[in-house]
Amino acid sequence: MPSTIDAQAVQNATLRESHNPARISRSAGSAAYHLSVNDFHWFGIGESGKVFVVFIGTFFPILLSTIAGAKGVDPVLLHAGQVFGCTTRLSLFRRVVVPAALPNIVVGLRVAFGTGWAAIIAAELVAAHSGLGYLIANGMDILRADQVLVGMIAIGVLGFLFDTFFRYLQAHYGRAAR
Amino acid sequence: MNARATTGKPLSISGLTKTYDTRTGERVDALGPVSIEVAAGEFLVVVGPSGCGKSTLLQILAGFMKPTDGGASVAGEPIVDPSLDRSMIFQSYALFPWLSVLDNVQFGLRSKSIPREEQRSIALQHLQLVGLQDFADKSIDELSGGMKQRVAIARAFAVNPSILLMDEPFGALDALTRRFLQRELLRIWQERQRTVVFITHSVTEAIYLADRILVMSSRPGQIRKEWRLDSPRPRDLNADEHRRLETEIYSLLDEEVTKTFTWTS
Repeated sequence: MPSTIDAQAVQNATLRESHNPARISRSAGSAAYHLSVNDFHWFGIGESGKVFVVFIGTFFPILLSTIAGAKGVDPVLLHAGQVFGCTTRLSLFRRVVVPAALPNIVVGLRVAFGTGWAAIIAAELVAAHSGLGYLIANGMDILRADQVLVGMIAIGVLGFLFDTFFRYLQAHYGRAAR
Repeated sequence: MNARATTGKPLSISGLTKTYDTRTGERVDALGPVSIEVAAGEFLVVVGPSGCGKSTLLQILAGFMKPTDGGASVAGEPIVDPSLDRSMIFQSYALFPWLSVLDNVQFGLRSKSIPREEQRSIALQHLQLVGLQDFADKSIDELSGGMKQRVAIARAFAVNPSILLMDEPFGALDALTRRFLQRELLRIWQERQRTVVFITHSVTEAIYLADRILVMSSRPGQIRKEWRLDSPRPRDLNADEHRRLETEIYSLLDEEVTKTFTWTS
């Protein structure tokens, strides 16, 4: 049956991939983590797995808040835009819809940053050979509490700084459109 | 009156009707048929019970909405789309909160082929016209309701329209601000002489402002009666003739409002 053959082929490819020397060279400890998480297993320990996880974690909050922002534009502002010279849909979009939706988009970015940041650390904890998450995971493996603590503090401080940046964006571009 | 030539254009509305399809598939006649001739530079005020289709009428004149039947034209040119030539003042101000006061007034000028510097000076000039020149760099959120509507008036006049459409522009303001802005609007209109179509619920406002008052019937809105006013401005609303007119219009409106309520019950 073709479907069985396909499944077999996929399994073979996965096996080949998981015996790739580059992957086996990782520390034995975190290999246990990464084998337990299927998604990471598929993507290996390179950048692509992390990119995928961050994408899943950030894409939808941004998409949904952008849609909500664009749909929530006060119709009277659209009328005002049309009266005052936005004769094409594109110019109405650029001059009214985008700036009116911006507060919502910035909120989406801020939320997405939170989930994205958490996701990338989690990805590094289970399947990576660099990064703050890996630093913690590795510190746990080799009983380096100082390394673990530094990783935790750095994650907190960086997260706070990024959020401060997004709050700045919100204050400047997030003026609530009534 | 001003020596400047009239820059308003005549507005002609003929056999205009609007029918909506409701969600249940029924057809609701909202407006008309309505035929109105507005002379160039005339201040026309339309009064009617709520739901009589006067906002629909204005939306059609602005070009936001197509009539079901009939049409409207400005100096012979049919209205199909919104245009800078038909400026509008909205009840809810409809200012762009992400722009400064000056940028709001300048918004409509950006699509005209005028150099940036000149746009700025035209916008400033119009802010001066409404007495807000010192607020040019303020954000919209910092203004009171009356000031917002003054910015909207400046924005509407800045694009040099021949027709001004006003949809209950002072409806959301307190009585004092309202009186002040009525005076301001008259002053600017007398200076510029644009054709104005002004919609309101307030009979006294209509008497204070209008060259001609149209009273609309309840749905589907049609012209019930019209009055021409030629008493000089500023008008004393306590003068006998105005008092009489007010009573007359109110009794007609009361009739129409009663109809609305007996229909819906």
